[in-house]
Amino acid sequence: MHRGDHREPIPADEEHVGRTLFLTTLAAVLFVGTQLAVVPRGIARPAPSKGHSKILISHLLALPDASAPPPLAYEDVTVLEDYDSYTLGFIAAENVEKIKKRAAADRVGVEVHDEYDLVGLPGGTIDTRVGVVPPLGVDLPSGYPAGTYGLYVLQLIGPPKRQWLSQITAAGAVIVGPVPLNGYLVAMTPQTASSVRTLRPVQFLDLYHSFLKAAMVDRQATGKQDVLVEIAEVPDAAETIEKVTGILGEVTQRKDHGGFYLRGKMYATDLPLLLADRLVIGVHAITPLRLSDERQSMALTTNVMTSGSNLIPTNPGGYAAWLNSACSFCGNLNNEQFIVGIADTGVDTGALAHPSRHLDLQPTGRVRYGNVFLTQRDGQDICAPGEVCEDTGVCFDCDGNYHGSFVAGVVAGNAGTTKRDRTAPTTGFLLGTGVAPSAGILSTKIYSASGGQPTTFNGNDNNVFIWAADATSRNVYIQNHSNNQYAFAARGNYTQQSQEFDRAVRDSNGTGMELTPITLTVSAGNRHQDFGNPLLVPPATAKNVIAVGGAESVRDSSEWRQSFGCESGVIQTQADSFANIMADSKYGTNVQSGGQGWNTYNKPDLFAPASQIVGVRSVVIRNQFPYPGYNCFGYGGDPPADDHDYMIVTGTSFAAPVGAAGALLAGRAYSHWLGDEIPDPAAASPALRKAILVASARSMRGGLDEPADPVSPPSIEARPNAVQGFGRISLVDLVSQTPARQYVDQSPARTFTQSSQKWSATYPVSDPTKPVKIVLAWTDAPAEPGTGAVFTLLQNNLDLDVRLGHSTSCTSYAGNNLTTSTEIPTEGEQSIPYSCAAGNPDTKNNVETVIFFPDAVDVDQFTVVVNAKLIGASAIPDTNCQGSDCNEQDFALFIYNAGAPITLGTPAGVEATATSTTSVLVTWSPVTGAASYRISRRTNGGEEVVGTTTANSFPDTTASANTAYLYRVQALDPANNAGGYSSSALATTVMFTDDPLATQMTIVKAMHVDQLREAVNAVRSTALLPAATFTDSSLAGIPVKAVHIQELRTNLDAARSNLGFSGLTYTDSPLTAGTLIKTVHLTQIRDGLK
Amino acid sequence: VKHRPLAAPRFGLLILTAFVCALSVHAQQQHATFQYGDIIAGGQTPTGITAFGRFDWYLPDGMLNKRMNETLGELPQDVALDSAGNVYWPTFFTIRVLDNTGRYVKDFPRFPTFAGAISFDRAGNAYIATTGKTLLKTTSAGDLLTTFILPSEDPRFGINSIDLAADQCTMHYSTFGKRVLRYDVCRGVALPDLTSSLPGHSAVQLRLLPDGGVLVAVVHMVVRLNNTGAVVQTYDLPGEQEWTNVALNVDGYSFWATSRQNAYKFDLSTGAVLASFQSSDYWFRAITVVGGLRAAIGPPAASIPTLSEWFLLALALTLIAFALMRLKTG
Repeated sequence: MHRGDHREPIPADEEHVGRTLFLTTLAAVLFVGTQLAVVPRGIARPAPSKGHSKILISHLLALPDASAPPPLAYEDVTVLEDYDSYTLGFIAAENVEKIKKRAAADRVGVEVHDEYDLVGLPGGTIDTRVGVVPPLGVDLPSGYPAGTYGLYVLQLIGPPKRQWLSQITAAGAVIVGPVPLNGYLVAMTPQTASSVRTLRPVQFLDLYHSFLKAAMVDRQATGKQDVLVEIAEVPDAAETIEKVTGILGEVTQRKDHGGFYLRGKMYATDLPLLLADRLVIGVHAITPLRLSDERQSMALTTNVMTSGSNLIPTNPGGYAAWLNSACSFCGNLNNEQFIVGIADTGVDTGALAHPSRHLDLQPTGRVRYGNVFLTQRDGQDICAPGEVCEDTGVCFDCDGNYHGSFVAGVVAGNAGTTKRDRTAPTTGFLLGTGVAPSAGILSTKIYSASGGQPTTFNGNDNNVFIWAADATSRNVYIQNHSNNQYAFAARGNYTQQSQEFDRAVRDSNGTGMELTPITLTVSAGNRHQDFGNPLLVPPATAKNVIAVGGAESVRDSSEWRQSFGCESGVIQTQADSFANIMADSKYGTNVQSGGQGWNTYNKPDLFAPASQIVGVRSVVIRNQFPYPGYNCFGYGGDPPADDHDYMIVTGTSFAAPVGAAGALLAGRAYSHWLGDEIPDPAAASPALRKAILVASARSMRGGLDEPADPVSPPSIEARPNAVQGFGRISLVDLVSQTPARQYVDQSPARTFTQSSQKWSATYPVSDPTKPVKIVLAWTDAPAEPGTGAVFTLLQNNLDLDVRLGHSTSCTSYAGNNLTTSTEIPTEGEQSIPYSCAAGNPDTKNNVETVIFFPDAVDVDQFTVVVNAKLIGASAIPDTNCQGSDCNEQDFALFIYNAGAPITLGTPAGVEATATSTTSVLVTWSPVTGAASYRISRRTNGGEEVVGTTTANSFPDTTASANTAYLYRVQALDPANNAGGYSSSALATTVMFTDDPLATQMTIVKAMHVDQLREAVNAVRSTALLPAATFTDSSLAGIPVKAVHIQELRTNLDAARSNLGFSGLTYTDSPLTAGTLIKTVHLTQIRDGLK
Repeated sequence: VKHRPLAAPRFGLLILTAFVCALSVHAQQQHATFQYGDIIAGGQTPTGITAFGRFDWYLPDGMLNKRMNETLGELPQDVALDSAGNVYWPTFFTIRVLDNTGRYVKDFPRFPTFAGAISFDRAGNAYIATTGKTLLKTTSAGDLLTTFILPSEDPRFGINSIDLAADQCTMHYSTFGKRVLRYDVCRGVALPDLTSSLPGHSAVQLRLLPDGGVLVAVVHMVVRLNNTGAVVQTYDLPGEQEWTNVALNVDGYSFWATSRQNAYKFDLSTGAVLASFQSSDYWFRAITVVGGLRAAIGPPAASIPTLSEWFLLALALTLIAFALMRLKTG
């Protein structure tokens, strides 16, 4: 190449150019030389010897900054090969240390590589310094017939050089494949072998003896086994093929993974004959795969058991029975009403060429078709010959990819094929069991078969608004989006797409005119599609969606054992526990705290099994799927062996639909709770569905956080956090009928319009032996997108505050403040109790949860308070309103293990009794649900609160003498919300002489009447009446007459009437002149003054 | 380092001319085996759903020579060649090994690698970076030799690119951030960062230069650092937003870099674009050049001339002989 002067030279490359030129020429010469089998001077090829050690010598092994001076050699070292920057040689084993010291002095490194003389083969290791050692009783064959190809094991003197392999193949050998270390399986004739054996780089060559070959079959089996026999592809393989076919009977041929295979059945006794064939490389038993995803659904049920530290499914075949048992209406949904939208690559149509729709999605009417948001046919689509999948009039709706059909199967597969795990064909887990097996499906096609998506559709942005509106216009209120925005600028960020999804949850068509809410479930995204970065990708970063990450599913190692392409036990590491997060899942965001106190934005919200999921395979692609990249991790799309109804795949795409189906069942349960005669699929708001799913989730704490490091995964910390969100989805609490639960959905009556407003309600615990779980969720106003931190993610910030019991303990819980220190058995974390404090309010999430165990804190009721900490935006679009006056935020609550809310009664039996001239004792009967009581008193100066108490009596010690007071009492809940006022009780702080008056014992005196006159006027004052004037204003020396008593009665009655009291009943009424005045007459008036 | 003078320059020039002619003829032909300058590259179809992985083999001019593999959901994360010419594709779930004809050979034994990047040492051992913080050292056959736990600049992130230095000990790596970190795999200790302040979005892939510097694709550009970590050059083109891969060319004076569906050959010194090509339908995720420099392995050995090259060499020799005869007679 031309090198201009302007170029900056790279020192090492300067050398390289000249060196390349020189070496190129030299190589040509050497090539000629090696073709003539001339061993270059100074280069040896002795046979490996036990007394020798292979060594590498190089300056680079000792000098970190060495620039590769020529390799050195020492006289004790026999040089085998110059590798340009290091030298391969051998030395007597006893001289190794000596040469190392010498080399170190020269600043040259020496490495010993005795493994260069070992060859690893399926049946054992050959130490080429010793040669092949046959098992006892086995005779080694002498060789292959002349002129026929046979398999040999060959080892080179060191790391292979290309020209060495060329020499071997030039001699007529066929390299079948490499074996460790620096070895190859080679097919050739004995004559060729003689020639190859003399090549300088070849240090070992021997027959590939049958006992060294792969023989992964059950040698004890008595029946026939399904096997693959791998055969070397050489010109005279026909004889071997014929022989193998004769043993296996009917065979199928397969070329895959670079090999040539015959598949058939054999007895274990056939094995020696097969292995003895000169061209048979190995025999592998096939354990056909048929892996159900009833397992995935089972993860959501009580059919989960502990195996060691893992959670695994149990009760195969029992999912449908479990669902029906737990929730009869959940297992028998009306598929015309309860529908999940699938915005994806289409859903299996049973296209013209394949009229039989997949059995798991039948009956036919269960799948409906919405719009196809593609503008043209996709040339890569796969359909029957002559058809194009997305060809209008042929099968434009169809799924030529697989993805959408598979997602549909996760939602609604009904095990229609009745197939089970092949390892247990009658008792194993059923294949193709979705979470809601009777649900309907609406396909909204937004991706082509090749995964393409136009940016515009009919001149509009091809975005979530037209996709979601396609669902809501068809009365479908849930739509799954197993797709993500994989781009660097999007990674972990709240992007425009996040904003659009947030908006669409409230307003699916984006017009703001007529709000049509929709629950959007979205996948968290896969690490392997994003350069290994773990951060969540949009739209999963949106607040109002339900973002679902991938947990592990569970696969038995026996299902994979000895199956082609998978090694025994490989699979468990990524599919052995529902409690683990699979390594490929994404989580966490770039959303920062913005200086606020809360630490993380908990995304994804939930997890569901997503590794090695088996599900519906679109009929359009079956038998024609051209991508045989299947591997043990469930990627690649090949079916379980020979099963074209199903395929096995991994990815968070298949976790999200678990959330969608869960949201559907949550809505159905809510509709049932409402008592609707006709179930209403639209009854539950997206916020309520989310709250229900979050409350029902199970903690993954203690499971393995595989994405953090798949080799040494740390344990998952307490939820909620940015790793596990709110845990893994479970239906157990969602579909159960007991204990009681309460739903509080969005309502104009419960909509905040400004900060500091609050709502509360008090609930009795339904079952004290079970946890109480409360989840608050709200559909927030969308935030402004950002490419990094989003400081103002929450536009409206609500706080969940739960007060316990009757407030005597002053214990409260704040949303999302969970701890593991007081763990609820089998449930995970519980809320941190705060004593008369607000806790640490969450400032970043629009989902908050409180969990407590009522028995542990000894409460039978609790009060839920929702505080509007910040109402800064309008979450409810209103085109007729602008500005901050329009700020509105509603919310939803799901309260698990709670009876109907307690309505605070009014205190009854209120009595007020003056105990001195300055003290009044107020008493009343207790009120159910009251945490405390508030006591008010009224005089002619108005009404005032004189105190609160948690007791059922209150001593008012602030009274004034000779004053009449009206006392009222209110019950308060733990949030200090007051019930109604009690009736009033009158007390007058006039102390009466001879109280009580003893009938026929006490003499009525003038002072008794004077005291009554003062008291009656006190009551009149409180009743805002003027003081009464009385006959004989001074009674000194005057006997008490009837008129005196009658005046008291009349004036008191008037006052009492003004105060709302009923009239009193008097003895001898009216009192007429001359009537004997008795103590009863005075007592009745006194009673009327209290 | 002393520059080695070219021996017999006039003779060498003739030979060089002959080889250039041969290579030019060679470059226009389909290659049955990997040839120096061929580009091995792969990627994923850009989609929001499960992508298709492509594993391609391009001629030096960017013409597709062969699609070696395509898979659903299994995507190349990196690519490297061993000294025998086999190509190794970490695909997160395993490492696919293909021979120098692009034929599938095997997968690495399946320990839970979640392989994201690969680099070979001179002895043929492989270093495999998991997507976590674990770096594995294996034999060329994939047998595990040892593991290292490497520091990461953010606890959430693992290793996303590695390249072993010529000293066979210093592993340069990045962890989705602003740093080029270093780790001594001989002693098992962390070393000081080469730099902690990369420009651009974040480090996606790095490749060591023979002078001790590093090329790093940082999404918004490609940066060249010198051996002290200072930025000495940046490479970018209008309209390109996602520089994610770099691969040094055989000549040592140029390198390939990719941005989404486009691959560009840059002059290392001037930043000029020397060539470019596009993938069929995918965004590049991995690229390497047959015979391209990898610091740990050093310059490649000479390739075996093809028949056309032999022919031209013979022609050149004939011309030389003819010239010498004329000199002698004349």
